[in-house]
Amino acid sequence: MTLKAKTLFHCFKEGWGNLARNSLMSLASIGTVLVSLLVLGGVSLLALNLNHMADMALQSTKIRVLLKEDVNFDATEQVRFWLQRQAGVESYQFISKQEGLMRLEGIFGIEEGVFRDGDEEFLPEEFEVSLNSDADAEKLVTGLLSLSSVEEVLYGQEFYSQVRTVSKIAFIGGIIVLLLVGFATLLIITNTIRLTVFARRREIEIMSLVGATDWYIRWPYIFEGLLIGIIGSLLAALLLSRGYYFLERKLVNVASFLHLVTYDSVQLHLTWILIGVGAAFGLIGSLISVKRFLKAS
Amino acid sequence: MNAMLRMRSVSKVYHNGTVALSSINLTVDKGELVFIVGPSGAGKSTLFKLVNRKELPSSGEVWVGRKSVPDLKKGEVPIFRRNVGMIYQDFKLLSNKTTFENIAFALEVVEASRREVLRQVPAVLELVGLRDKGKAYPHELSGGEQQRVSLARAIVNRPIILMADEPTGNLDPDTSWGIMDLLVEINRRGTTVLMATHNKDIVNRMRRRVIAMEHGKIIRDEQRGAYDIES
Ligand SMILES: Nc1ncnc2c1ncn2[C@@H]1O[C@H](COP(=O)(O)OP(=O)(O)O)[C@@H](O)[C@H]1O
Ligand SMILES: [Mg+2]
Repeated sequence: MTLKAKTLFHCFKEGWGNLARNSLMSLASIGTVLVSLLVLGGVSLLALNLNHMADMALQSTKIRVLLKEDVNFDATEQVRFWLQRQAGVESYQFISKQEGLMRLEGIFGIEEGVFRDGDEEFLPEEFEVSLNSDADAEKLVTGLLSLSSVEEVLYGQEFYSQVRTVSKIAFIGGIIVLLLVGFATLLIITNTIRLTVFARRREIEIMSLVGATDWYIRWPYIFEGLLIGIIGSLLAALLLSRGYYFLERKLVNVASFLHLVTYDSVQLHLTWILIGVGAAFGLIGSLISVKRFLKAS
Repeated sequence: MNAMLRMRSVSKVYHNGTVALSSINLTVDKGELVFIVGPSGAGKSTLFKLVNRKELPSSGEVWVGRKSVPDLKKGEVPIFRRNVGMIYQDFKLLSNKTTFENIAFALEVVEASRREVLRQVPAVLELVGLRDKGKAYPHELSGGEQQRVSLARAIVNRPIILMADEPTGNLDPDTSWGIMDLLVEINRRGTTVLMATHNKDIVNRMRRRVIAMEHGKIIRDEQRGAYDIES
């Protein structure tokens, strides 16, 4: 199945011609690709933002690392040594038992004599860790927990994992919607190409009569599908970026506490993913159609 | 061995149960020109379809040269078809292409170079007598001229065998003779020609080999034959 450059050009030209000739159905196909990809892109952006917010929330709170008692080595040194080597750690502070008690007194007051001398012995030693904005909070927490000298790590676990769960649900829900819309998309692409094949059946018959190979006959229809997918995905990428910029600007005014992911930081990845998925839609749709409706010989 | 086409005990039953051919035995030698006659439904077109592998036989052998046609692999079929020219009663031209383009089409789909297109197309146009009709569209041509275009397209890939399925069915007698003369000329240049026809006049005046079919069987095979049985 080697294609000469000239043949490739011919097939591309024919595919484009098919698309233009059958413009109404082509537009419908491109439209459904567009809708599918908007769903995919929208869901991805939503999930990205929720994750981002969870990370931001985690970064702004301090992580408390409670140390084990009764270990036969210097727990403080082990944790300090580990923290020093973490890129995501902005700063950390050691809090002795005494300081811990003083903090409690600061919170609950000392007038009523809630705390007695010697209470500090019941408190653990701890580190208070601040993260910088590059930090992967989850990974840091897991790393800390794996140290033999760490008893417990306290951070906004609950909030954090809730946001993560919501983001997961949103993403999975989105994927299910995408599968449904994707199915409709494939159906419409398949039918569009079936119509072109039908409109050109005489030509196809003659091609096979004079000895054109199956692939020579098929390529234009495959290109047609690919073009539908790629045009749809480019439109989706464009609309998403416009829409997102718009949303970003609105949100800065009404809800400045929400830190959205900047579009520029995800644009490249997202665009390629959309083009890839769009092209796959087109390719699969046209292959199905060609297999089912183009009985060349 | 000079056989161009050999059929051994060939039968064809279509999916709906129609028996189109039964126990056909036939040998056509290189360079022959053969008429196939018989009423509609006799199986003439089916026989052609088994030769260019539009259809597969239900049983029996079909050989073109040293190739067993039913055993051709899927990928070999296009190459094989370039050796088997076909023309039909309805010409099968593309209405949105000119004469030149219709013929060039047959070369382009087999990925011939532009150089070859520019050499071969004028040559066959010359041969079929349409030198000045290259720019005309099918609807601007008479039936006879359209059939000449389709003939030119059929031979531009230099087939070893040419099958004409009622090529004069839509043409008046004079025009029909024009096509027949061309087929004779093509045959004279070495291509084996099979022609299915209802044209008594042509068959009777040509006095070539005649194979008569009825109900899917060969009922007569004569050298220098006529359309009907001569008593
Ligand atoms: N694709 C097909 N499916 C079913 N029956 C067919 C098909 N093509 C031809 N036939 C039947 O096979 C028989 C022979 O047809 P055909 O070969 O076209 O005869 P001819 O060309 O001599 O008129 C007829 O009865 C015809 O109806
Ligand atoms: Mg027939």
